Amino acid sequence: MLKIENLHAQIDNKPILKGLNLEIRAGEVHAIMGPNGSGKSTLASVLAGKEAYEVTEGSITFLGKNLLELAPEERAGEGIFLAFQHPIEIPGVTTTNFLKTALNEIRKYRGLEPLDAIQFLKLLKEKAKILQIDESLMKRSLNEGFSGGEKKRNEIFQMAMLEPRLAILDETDSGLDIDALRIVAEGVNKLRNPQNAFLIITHFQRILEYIQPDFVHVLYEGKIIKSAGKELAKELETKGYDWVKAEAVAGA
Amino acid sequence: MVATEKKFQDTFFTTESEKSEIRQKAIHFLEHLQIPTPKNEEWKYTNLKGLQNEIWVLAQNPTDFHAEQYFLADLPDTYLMVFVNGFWQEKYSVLPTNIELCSLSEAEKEGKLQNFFAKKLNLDKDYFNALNTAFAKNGYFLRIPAKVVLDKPLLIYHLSSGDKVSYLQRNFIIAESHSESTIINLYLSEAENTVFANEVTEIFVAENARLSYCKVQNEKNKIYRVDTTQVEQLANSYFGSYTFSLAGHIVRNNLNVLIEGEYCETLMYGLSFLKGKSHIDHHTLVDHRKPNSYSNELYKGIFAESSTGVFNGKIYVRPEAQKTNAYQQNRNVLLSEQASIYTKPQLEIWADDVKCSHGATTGKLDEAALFYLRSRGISETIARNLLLKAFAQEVIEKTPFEPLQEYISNLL
Ligand SMILES: Nc1ncnc2c1ncn2[C@@H]1O[C@H](COP(=O)(O)OP(=O)(O)OP(=O)(O)O)[C@@H](O)[C@H]1O
Ligand SMILES: [Mg+2]
Repeated sequence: MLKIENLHAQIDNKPILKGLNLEIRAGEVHAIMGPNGSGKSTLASVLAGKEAYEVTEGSITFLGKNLLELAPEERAGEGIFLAFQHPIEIPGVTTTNFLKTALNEIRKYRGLEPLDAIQFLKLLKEKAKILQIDESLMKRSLNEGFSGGEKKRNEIFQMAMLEPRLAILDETDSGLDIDALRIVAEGVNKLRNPQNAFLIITHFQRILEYIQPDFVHVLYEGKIIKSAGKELAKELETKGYDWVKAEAVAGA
Repeated sequence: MVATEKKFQDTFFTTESEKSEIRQKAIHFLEHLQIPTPKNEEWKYTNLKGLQNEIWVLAQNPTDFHAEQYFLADLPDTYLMVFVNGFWQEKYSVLPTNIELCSLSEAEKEGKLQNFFAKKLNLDKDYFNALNTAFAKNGYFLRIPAKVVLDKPLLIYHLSSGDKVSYLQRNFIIAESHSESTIINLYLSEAENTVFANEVTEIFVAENARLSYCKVQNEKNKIYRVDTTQVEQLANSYFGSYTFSLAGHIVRNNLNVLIEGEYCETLMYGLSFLKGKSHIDHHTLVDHRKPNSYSNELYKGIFAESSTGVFNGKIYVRPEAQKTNAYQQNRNVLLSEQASIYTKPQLEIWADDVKCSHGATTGKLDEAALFYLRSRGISETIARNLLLKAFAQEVIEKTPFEPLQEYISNLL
């Protein structure tokens, strides 16, 4: 589904990603862990198409297309979704209006008829129920004044509405209380199917107990320096990153 | 006086034998006043040179003008007045019966202006106020008697016809005690003619009266417009001003509110959304002269292409005006490298027990927000539009008449 080869990316002339390789197949869940500043959010932004990042080398193909040639909205149309580490507040745009516009824009991209108001509201209620989102939040301006946890939950709610092929969750678990974490994880599990895939960026293995990953990768200084099964997350939690870094240096 | 002023002024000059004392006074002031240039601090960013380069003729009352073409289906169920080149087109009027309304000349003839004519207007230093006071013959006198509550807004169309025409208009609105009304002015043109218009409106809001006064400026012709709205508020009154500037070659709005009574509420909202080479200059003043009043001003601007905005907001709090609450904000978004905004808040506070604040911001459209929307599949054009509407919404939603809110939203 997604193939990243030798990806180099920089911002303001500062190289951040330095030869990253990653392949994700349909139906898989991948987790990326790594110290602060290692480039996890950068990777997520590059995948979503943030223009401030310049790709200097390497390639990204998604479902057979060169992702780097597509605008952010086209990537969303192809099925990429990024749950932001820091969701943006947009005063004056209600969540409902925003989601209806987004959903129908994506449907248009895919050659589907737009949903009318009734169909849309039905879908909205259905998904809100799964994620136990208070519907009063939908009438408010997008993320404005939302608590940290509400913002994160709203990201996953948007994901549920837009049904992406590849969802990238950038530290969605940070800032969620224990119950919210379980609800969000269950939501993700309900959406999992053989056609889609998830890339979960996290610092904690707790979320990975709910959403069992097929692979865990360690990102360090712009490269993936170790990949293993889900047991790696537990090991990192107890031992930290130093031993992986040491391994990488020894191997290099 | 220089020759150019003389030429410009002569367009309006009338030779009636009988001129009231105040008009004579204005003519006298004109002798030492000039069309302001950028050397004048109050006109630093608005250059009227173009005004002096044209040869103007005094606008006539057109006989074959079809005002209906401008009527908005979006604003049904209102009272109606129509002005073309400042001339009142009475055949279109739809008016309530419980008000007093007549033309400027009739009001002047019958002595109705006595207590109001240039009562609080700056004549000796303001060229256009003096010009208007000296020579304006057209306009209306509207009195909303005590306790009268208008059941519908009064919609006033201001239209123009003819090329290189100039005109003056002078209006009076007397909102008597406990009256309530909403007036909506629409300045519209889809033509390509060149017009100079100067309008002075003197508004008196008596004790406990409430008046909402809206302006939509959307003249796409080559308009030079200098507008002065001079307001006096007495105790416990409410005055709300809502100015939407969507087009205009060179437009200068002076909005002056003098708070002459206690416990007044004054709201001043503005939204400019300009394209092309439009130039809009808002000069506002709220002058707290008595204690315990509240004023709040929010002007927002979105400037695209080569448009220019000017915002100068003055708040005066006089020594006597203790316990004043006065707030002002000016927020701008520049959509292109060629667009510009000159913003200057000016607070002068002589009282000590007051709450005042002001702020001005200018920036580009929020790139992070734009990316967020696009990452959800929303095309760049629609995403920009959503953000601009959201920015404008804060002002639009304050507007008193819901169909007007929708009309403006749809124009953006
Ligand atoms: N505009 C910029 N100019 C220079 N450096 C930048 C810029 N933006 C981000 N960086 C740097 O890029 C590096 C990678 O940042 P990134 O947000 O991808 O890290 P991260 O792995 O997501 O960290 P965290 O775990 O703290 O979220 C950091 O060192 C950061 O300071
Ligand atoms: Mg990060």
